[in-house]
Amino acid sequence: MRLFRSLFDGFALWRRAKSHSTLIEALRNRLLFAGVCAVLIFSGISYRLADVMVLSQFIDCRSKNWTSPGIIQKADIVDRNGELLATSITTASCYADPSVVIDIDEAAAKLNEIPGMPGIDRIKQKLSNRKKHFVWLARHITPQLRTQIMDLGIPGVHMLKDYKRIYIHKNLFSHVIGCSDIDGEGIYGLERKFSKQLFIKDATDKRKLVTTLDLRMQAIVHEELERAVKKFGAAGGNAMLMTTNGELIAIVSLPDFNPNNLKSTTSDAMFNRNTLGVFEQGSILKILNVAIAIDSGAASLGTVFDATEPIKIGKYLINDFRGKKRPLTLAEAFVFSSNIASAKIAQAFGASVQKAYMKKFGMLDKPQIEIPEVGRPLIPAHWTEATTMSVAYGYGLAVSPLQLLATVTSIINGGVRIVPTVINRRHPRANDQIRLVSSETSAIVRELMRSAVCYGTAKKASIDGTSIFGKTGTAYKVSGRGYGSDSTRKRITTFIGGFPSDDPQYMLLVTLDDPKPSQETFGYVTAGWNVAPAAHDIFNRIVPILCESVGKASTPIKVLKYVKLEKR
Amino acid sequence: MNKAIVVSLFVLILVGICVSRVKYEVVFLRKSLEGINKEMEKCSDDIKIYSAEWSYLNTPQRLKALCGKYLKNLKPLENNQLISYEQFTQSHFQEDCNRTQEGHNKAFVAFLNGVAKAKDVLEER
Repeated sequence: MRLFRSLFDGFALWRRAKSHSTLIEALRNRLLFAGVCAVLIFSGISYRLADVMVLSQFIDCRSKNWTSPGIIQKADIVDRNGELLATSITTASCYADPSVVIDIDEAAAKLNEIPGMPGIDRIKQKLSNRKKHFVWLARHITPQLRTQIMDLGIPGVHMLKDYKRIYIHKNLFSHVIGCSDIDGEGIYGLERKFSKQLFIKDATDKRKLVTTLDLRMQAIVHEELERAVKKFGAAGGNAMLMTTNGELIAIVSLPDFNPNNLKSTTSDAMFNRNTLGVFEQGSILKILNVAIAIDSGAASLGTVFDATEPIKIGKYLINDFRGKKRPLTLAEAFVFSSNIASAKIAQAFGASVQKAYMKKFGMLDKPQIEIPEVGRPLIPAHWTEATTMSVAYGYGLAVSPLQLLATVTSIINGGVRIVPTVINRRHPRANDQIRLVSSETSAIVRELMRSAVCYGTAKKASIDGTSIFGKTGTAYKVSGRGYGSDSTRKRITTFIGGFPSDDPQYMLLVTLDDPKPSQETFGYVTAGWNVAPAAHDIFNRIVPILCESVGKASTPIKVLKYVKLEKR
Repeated sequence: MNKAIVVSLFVLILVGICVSRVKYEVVFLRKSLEGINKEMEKCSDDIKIYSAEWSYLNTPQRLKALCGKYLKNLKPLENNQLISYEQFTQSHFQEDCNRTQEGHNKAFVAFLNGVAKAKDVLEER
């Protein structure tokens, strides 16, 4: 307003200027000022026009980045040596904006010629909803198909940069690494557990999920277990290799699945027997039984228990498989795996002590591990004397192999509780140092397990030059309300052991589900005849790689004093 | 007064030009940065694909198959092939070594004799 006023004032002055020269000077100045202002305003307008017409093109180019903000890349999963287990690779995905597509029939016909497209009817159906601005046409297509589709030049059909999760070793780590859906969202295993944490901003983000697994060991254990399952006609099997501080370096469960191709996967193949398979473990629980007896002071290695006659409790009969039919020391009861003597050992310390120890061992709670698919143990409703006696030799309490491995490792490794893990932590979890049994008990149990390998039921698991210790267990599978008849009974055979016995470093658990008798096993289906040789084959391949103290096989001198060995 | 206005205008125009130039520079630098970032991302994507391919080529199953094909005389190491240091220093092992050394010596003498014979033959010719 002031400017206009000054201009009008200027015209009034102009009229009077003929008679007044100073006013003319003032008027010139004002005109000059007004002219400069006009020039500046027009310069501003011109600049803005140039900005909108020229520079905004660059801004448009920026916004035309083909990465969708909704699609996020995931971090790699690697083993303890940095070997790649799962990664995300760049792919292209095709989508359409139906509101822009001009001729749906023509577009559908053209797209139908491209392999991997959903079919002409499906394409038409997807494109028919004009209100939508985004529909997927094909995910994770190859670069060749991407070029072919783009060459069609259909308006409204676009490409997006997408990421596909790739599991390089296919079936090898299926049950532990797990799998993701088409959008990269974890749906099973570690992928599910760390689904949020695995999302990364872009490929320049170098974060990785480092696991405790070892590709070499996993491959060996997988191969040998697969061979054993085939050889003994088992319905399945599982194996775990763990360091004595709780780091799992191999976890195999058979049958398994290919996480790259979930369409052909069955629910049975997706069942992780190591963590979800909750069943009665048979004679393996005798390890816990002798640990309780020795640690509670109820018995020592030389304490004698009469195993001459079977025990009858209610409708159940506790008997031995190829029993010695004589009084046995605690050491003999363990080495020869006597059910009768084990039940009597349990009677010596009683139900309350057994339950308290089982609670302390973590056998009555859900085990802790990063894998989300973990089974809860099946605990008897009433802990009667019969329960105490049956739990002593592995019936009446159903736990997962993971739980069993963690407990046995804790007992033999100095008696301090370990927590199994599959994540390699830079700062290990603060160990709360819960003592389960004394270090003396731990050493005795270890020696007993060494004796079982040297002279007992786990003989076939031994290898030359290394002190393998272990225990076998054969349990009947529950069928309906019982265990089935003699002809239909199915068994689960387990071996648990480790090496070297004087300073345990690694623990191995191998289980076969329903192995069949063969000529090679002389018709036997007990653990000593199938799962122990399988463990031997695994030991034979992993010990040269892992063990630092080869060629030092020790003899269980302490236990030998209480074991009467019979020549066959 | 006139001079002041002219100088002010000149400064104003100069500042305007500078600001405009800076803006253009920023726009072009941003564009170039985005280009570099895109290139980095592409390189990272390529590296990821190469890593995946390398890992795939090194899968234990494939390596085993290749070993079976090309290293027929080699087999995986077994536990009984390893001995402890104590065993290494044991006398019977030393004897084995001595025996091997004798064998080597004999073979070497035979080789020298062969060379001498060959030399004679050549000289005769």
